[in-house]
Amino acid sequence: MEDANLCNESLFERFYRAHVKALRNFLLYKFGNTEQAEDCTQEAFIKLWQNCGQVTPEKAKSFLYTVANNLNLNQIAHQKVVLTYAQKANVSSATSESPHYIMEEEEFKTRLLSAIENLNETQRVAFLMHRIDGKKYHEIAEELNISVKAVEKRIHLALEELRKKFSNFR
Amino acid sequence: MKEEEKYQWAAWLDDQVSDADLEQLRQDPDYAVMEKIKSYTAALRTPEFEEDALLLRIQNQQRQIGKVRRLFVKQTLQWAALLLVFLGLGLGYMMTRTEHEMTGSGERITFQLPDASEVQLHAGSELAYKSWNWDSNRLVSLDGEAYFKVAKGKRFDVKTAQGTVSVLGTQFNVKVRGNRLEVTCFEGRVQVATPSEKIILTPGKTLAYDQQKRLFFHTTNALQPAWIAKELAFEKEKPQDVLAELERHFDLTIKAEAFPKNELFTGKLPGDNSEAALQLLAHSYHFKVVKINDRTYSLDATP
Repeated sequence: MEDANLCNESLFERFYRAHVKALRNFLLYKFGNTEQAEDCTQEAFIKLWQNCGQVTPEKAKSFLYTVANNLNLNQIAHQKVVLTYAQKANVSSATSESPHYIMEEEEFKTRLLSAIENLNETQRVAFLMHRIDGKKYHEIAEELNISVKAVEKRIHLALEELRKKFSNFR
Repeated sequence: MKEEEKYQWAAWLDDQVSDADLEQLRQDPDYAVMEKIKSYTAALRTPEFEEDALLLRIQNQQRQIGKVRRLFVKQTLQWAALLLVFLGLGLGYMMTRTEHEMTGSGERITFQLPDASEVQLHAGSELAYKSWNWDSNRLVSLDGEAYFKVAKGKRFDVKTAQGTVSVLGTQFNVKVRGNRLEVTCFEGRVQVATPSEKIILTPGKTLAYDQQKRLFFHTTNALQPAWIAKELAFEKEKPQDVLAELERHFDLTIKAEAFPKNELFTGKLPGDNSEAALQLLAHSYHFKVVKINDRTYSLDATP
């Protein structure tokens, strides 16, 4: 019985490896501060360990997000989300792009980042969990403890919000 | 827009949109912009972080928790037997013994905790801790004011009636007087947990509560608590609390029935000259100081 729960150190480590990056990213979208995101991640995993006897492995993930979400460390002002684009992120990788086109694309990317930073927290978190961590809407819903419809709404509104920033960019 | 069309963009972003809906979305003049948003955000990345270092920190904490767990759950019986047979009540006494450090009015003491952490206890304060098993249970309870320089090591908790202050680092001041709790972090990091919230203070941050409601939270440029340098600093404190602090600090009796109750006091008073401190305080409320004897003063309204 003892081995089936996360009190087993190697199971705990496996669980940690599977979820740590996504959890830390989630907190990063929320706070916009890497240090704080990592502190909260640590705190959440420690809480999980302290409760490893009570939390079943199936419940562990939602326990983790609930704890992380409830850590009330809101004193640090939201900083830049500190995201970057992977190399070769341009829409078309054709080599015949004019310098003017490249400049426009770079401007688009910069404005996109600042538009994302200016989304409200709930929209930004849901949107980035989908875009960066590649989560399905039902996974996001489960982690944020909201309905799938609510996730879709946040994503939809996030997109509407972003497009507004590019009204002159057609 | 019709109700079921509402979140079409969400479906589209997740590649779950129906052909008919897609056709409709393509008509949108912003469709090209949306496509770009979709493809660029797919290329977004978060900064790397050190997964292994974080795991190590968590595992260190695990060991401590794990140790305590085994001690209390699995080995309870063996321990009980050992205790009875070999050590009897002596060890029981040691385990539960609580060390007390107290200061009276006008006093101040400096002492060390079992791990060489240093504590300076301000006047009229009381601090208690258990020295047994100190290294894995660094917990002190405090009523009053103290400045802590904590030796590097594990978690260190200061329990007060108004909340718990946990050390993630090294130097901080805790002041708990009546319903008020004030914490200032000078070095490292300190976590304050009240029943309603949990806040981490970084160096230079000061945080205060009254009846567990947040009074202020901001930056200070002090390098150590004012009272260490023989000064008394107050921020948004009730006049009667300021007077109580002066009574404790200088070991005085101050009569001040008519003194204002609600105008909060912010400022520094000298901690080495009782008369000057009283004068300054009285002056800011347009009161005067009348000396009754060496240890008794009265504050009267100026006509």
